[in-house]
Amino acid sequence: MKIISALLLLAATFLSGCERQEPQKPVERITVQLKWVHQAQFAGCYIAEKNGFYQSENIDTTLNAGGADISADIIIADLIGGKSHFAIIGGDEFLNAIYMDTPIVAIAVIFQRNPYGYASLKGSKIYRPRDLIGKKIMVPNDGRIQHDALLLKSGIAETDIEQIPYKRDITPLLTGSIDVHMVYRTGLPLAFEEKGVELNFIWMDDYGIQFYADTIVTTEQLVQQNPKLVENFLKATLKGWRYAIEHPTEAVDATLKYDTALSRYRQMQMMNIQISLIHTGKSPIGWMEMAVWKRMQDTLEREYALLNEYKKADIKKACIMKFLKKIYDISE
Amino acid sequence: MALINRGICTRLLACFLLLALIPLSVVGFMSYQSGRQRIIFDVESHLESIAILKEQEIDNWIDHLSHTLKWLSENPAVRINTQTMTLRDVSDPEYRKSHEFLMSEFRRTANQEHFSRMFLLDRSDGRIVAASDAEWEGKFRNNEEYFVHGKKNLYISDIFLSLPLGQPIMAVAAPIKDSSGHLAGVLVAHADLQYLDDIMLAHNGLGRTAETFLVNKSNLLITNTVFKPESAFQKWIFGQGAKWALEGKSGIGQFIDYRGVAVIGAYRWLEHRKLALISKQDESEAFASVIGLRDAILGVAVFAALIAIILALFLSRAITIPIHRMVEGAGEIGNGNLDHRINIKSGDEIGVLSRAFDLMAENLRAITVSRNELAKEIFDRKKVEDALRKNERQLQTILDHSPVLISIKSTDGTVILANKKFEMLDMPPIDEIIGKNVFDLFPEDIADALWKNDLAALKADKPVESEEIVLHKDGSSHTYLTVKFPVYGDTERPFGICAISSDITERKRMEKERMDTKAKLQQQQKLESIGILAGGVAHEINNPINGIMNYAQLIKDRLNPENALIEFADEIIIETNRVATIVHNLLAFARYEKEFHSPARISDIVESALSLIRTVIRHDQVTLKTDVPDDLPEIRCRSQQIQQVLMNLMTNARDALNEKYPGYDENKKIILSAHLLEKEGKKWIRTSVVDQGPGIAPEIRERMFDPFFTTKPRDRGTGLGLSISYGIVQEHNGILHMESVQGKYTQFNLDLPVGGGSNPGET
Repeated sequence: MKIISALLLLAATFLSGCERQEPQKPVERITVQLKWVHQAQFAGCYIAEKNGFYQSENIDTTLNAGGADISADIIIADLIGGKSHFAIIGGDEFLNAIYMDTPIVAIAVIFQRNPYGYASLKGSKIYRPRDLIGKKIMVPNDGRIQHDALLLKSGIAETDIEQIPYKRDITPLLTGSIDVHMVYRTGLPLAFEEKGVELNFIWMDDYGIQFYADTIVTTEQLVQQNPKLVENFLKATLKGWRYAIEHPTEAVDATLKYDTALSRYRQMQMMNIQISLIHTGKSPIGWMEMAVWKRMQDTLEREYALLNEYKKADIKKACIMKFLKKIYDISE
Repeated sequence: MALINRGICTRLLACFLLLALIPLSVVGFMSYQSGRQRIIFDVESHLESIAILKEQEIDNWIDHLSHTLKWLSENPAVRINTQTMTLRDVSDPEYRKSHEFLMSEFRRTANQEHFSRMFLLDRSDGRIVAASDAEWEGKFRNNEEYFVHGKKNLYISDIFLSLPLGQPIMAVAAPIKDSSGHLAGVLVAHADLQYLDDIMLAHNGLGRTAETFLVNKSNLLITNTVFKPESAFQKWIFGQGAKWALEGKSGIGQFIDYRGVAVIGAYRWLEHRKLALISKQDESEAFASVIGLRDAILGVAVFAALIAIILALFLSRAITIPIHRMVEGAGEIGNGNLDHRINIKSGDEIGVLSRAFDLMAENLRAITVSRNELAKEIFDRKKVEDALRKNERQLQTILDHSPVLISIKSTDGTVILANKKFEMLDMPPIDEIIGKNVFDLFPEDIADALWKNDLAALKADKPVESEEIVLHKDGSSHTYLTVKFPVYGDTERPFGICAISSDITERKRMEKERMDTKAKLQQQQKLESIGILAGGVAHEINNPINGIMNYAQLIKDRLNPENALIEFADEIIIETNRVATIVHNLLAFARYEKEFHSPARISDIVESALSLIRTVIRHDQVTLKTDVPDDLPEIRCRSQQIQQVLMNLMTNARDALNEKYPGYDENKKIILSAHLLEKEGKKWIRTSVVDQGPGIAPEIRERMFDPFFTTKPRDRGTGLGLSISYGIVQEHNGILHMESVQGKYTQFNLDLPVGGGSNPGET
């Protein structure tokens, strides 16, 4: 026994010695700009930080919260200006930037499915787009393009519905001052559900408006200059997301560390709902389909055409698949 | 005794334990191993058949779904109604009728079969035109693969998570053709995946840890597992089985599963479904029965070991108790109690041994009495022998360490005894001397002398002293003073002659030396008295000589220069001058100098000597070469005397050269040099005077320094020069010596110690 333990000790010393001998690369400090305030929407990043996934890749990550006063334009400007290295923005926001020739690229999509939809009270019998005709609707600015696209696809004229100035508040719908609230699945609906209010949803996804939502973007420059850093960051983030889905409670705990004022119940709801947004079972977490980007592009270009703008963008160049392929060891 | 006990006991224990445990452990190990192998084989086969069966069940189920959908899509009523819906407007009652028909047909089929819902997609835009669930109508499915592929053929989708449903689904799609064979719509059904879960979780006849599940290409868990209920689509599986299956392999084996637990399992890759199927059971559970067997074997082993220990203890006691008694008995007898008896009555081997032992004790007692008497006798004799041996040794020691030669010869001259000292003599080793005759050991003349002395002692019958000369091993001749006397034994007549000789060679040599020194001293004293005598005589002669010389001069002055008497007067003057010179030298030889030793440089001494002699030398056409450096160390001397020595030597050299070369010759030269040298650890200054004259004949070299010895004509030398010089040099603790080759050269070396002699005045 003594010999064995001595050998083990020797081996341990030897191994630890070996580890120490590896040249320690300096830690890379990066900043990630989130598209919204700290909440379970970014649980993957929190887990990656908390469980040391970033650390194992030799990255020291700072997660900057966004908010109502930090628009997509500001986030993208900070990215280009070098204030942050990575950002999480909406897929449509990313496309808009591409059309403006901004040198940013998408490296992964966290929200695979379009989280936008129309919420109405259960008894209102609003089941499909055509039911919107003649109704009072609140549409948020970031949902505008999709809303227009849906009307177009469903053959509804803009004049057929009455638009009410947007408020991020559940009261208008509850009091009946509007009939329909365009919502982000993990946002306002949770507030209704918390009150025990049952809702009907019309999902954009169900009507052919396929939009990628939370997308991880960075600059062309960083991809060219430090591809290893990009790969390592993405690897750790995706690992964080997988862990978060496998352990939703832990993911919520990690989230609450960033904002103690958050409601655990609400974050847990958010976490459970977003699981089916993040992974579909068809492809690995973060995966991007060029066909989906193409369809988004078509939708946007139709919208631009309405405004008499005819822009083109090379989406293939701006969506970089090589990191995902490398991480998941997929050759095609 | 405890030791004996432990020895036998331990060995017996070891034997019994080995006997009990070896077969048990071999049999146990073999049955454990074969049991284990058997179980692995059984479990593996069982799991493999489960996996194959489940795969078949899945295939059957999907086949059934496909057939149902295909049948429905080819049903004439469905086709007609679908065609109607494509042709008519929504507001058309025919459309409504067809819509109603399809809806009810879909609901009925979905309920009957394993479908959660069923709907018809518009052939052009993928919109749901009829569905078992009314709320789904109007939604678009144009981006779905089941629409794209379902337009052409029967299509079965992968299993995926549906956003609106929040649950996994698998879609089956088939085209519906109109009467002319064109596409009228796409029929889609969502399979009820609960059934798939049921298939996978159905009890399989193995234990609680056995489970079967499906994993997709992204390592995502598709069906719930026993250990992770409600984890489908929320858990990624990275077990070894899943890994192998996802690599496209199918097989069985032992591996570590997703929980990190060792399992036995079967894994299959379902190519058509792009799913991995894993069926496995924990090793711990599978091996539970062999572990029971192992525990049973261990239990039996412990029991057998216990029995063996008890038996061994019992047996060892039965053997060791009589042995103890015998050991005690042996101890008693050993201690001298010969009356002790062991008395073991038993009839076995130990009893026999004990009786033999008792008999032995009896005999021993009888023997002991006579033995004691014998022992006393031996003891007394031994004491005498010891005393004798001691004496002998003492005597031999004295002989060996004696500084004199001691020997005993028999009356016929044969050596009987000789001590170690004889090794000094020129003869064989001591051992070989004994028994030899004196004439064999010494040369005849010596032997004769020795034997003569022996006989004289025999004759005198008392100690006789004599001096004897013998040769040592190194060849030197030594003189011994020997005392010889006859030796008597028990008889009247002597049996031999004893000789005791001490070496007196050294003593004799010293005596002779003392005699020589005495003679030398007498010679010296003679010389000294000659000196004193000569001194006195010279003094007395000096005054009359002066008178003679003056009167001769007066005679000469008064004579007419032509008178022949002048010649006689001149002769008187010359001869008196000669006498004056001799007297002067005699005085110098005898003079007791009062001058003190003082430091001086040899170059200065040489220079003042040369100032006196240089003219003479030049006059004789002799070349003088000097090499005396100024920087030589100083010497302590009476410089006047050293100057005189040098002048003597140079005068001798000049005379020698004049003898060889009456006129000029290039070899007619004197070399005067001085240099520092070191000998006997002291520093010396050597001053050399070299001439290439006729040299000095060997026969006169000995007498060279004697007073009044000269080789020169009567008018040239007094024979005192070298003698005086020798005396001066000796007084300075210096050395004056000469080397010469006759006919070639003569060299006188004057060596004087640097700083003066340690004790001036001693010769």
